[in-house]
Amino acid sequence: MFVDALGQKQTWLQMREHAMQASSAPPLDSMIQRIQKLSLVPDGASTVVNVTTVRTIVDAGGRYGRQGASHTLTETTLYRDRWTRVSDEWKLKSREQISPSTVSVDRPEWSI
Amino acid sequence: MVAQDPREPPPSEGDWHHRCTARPAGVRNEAGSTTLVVRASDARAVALSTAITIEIKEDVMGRRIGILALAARLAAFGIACSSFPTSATATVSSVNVTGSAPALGGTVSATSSPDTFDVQVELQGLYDEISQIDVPFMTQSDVDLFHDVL
Repeated sequence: MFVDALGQKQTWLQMREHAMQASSAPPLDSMIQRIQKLSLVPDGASTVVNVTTVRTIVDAGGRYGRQGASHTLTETTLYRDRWTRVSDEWKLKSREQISPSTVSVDRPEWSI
Repeated sequence: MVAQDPREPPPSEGDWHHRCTARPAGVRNEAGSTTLVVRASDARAVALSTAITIEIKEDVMGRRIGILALAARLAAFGIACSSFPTSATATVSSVNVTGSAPALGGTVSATSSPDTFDVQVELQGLYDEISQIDVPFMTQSDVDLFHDVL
């Protein structure tokens, strides 16, 4: 189950559809998911994860400066994930967005 | 714990000093230090798989090195890093390499309990795998690999 920042729940089937739709979206330059906090729970583990994605866009409208210039957008979001162990494998049970996404433009790579 | 300065020549012999392959399982950034958690498989000791924590403390000269330079320094200690997050950088004055396996001659350096630490290493490895999948080439089976209907 996925819960967004507004508290709206989506089922796994809905999330799976989103994941498949992502396969046709412009590719990410990079994605980094770092565990900020981990707690063991009876049926698995709970993590707080900082997810950072970087993508390059062409700014056709001149929103970030000169029209047609390329920019990198770095989006950072905090999630709480629930993992459960099934047949000796970890499976992601739920993901809850616990912070609004922040987007920065042309952020230096080393600062991520 | 084994502490070595990466700028010094590596020891020619040592229980912990041997060729292994490592991949990142996590990067923890804290004030003044960065910790890379890597998984390593010893090339000489078959089936040995362990976790190594590499603590990187702040360089007194404030030098910042890129992850490739860090990988090169680790290579000097016989630790070959297959890949690192490309964005990771750190200031480095010393590298402490500790491992849980006897062949690495130390104990895992962790602030949490061993169980929590092991789970974190394992899950961080999964996050890294998920993140490194080339999304345009993701198939339905790739999606299902990391998720399930529970």
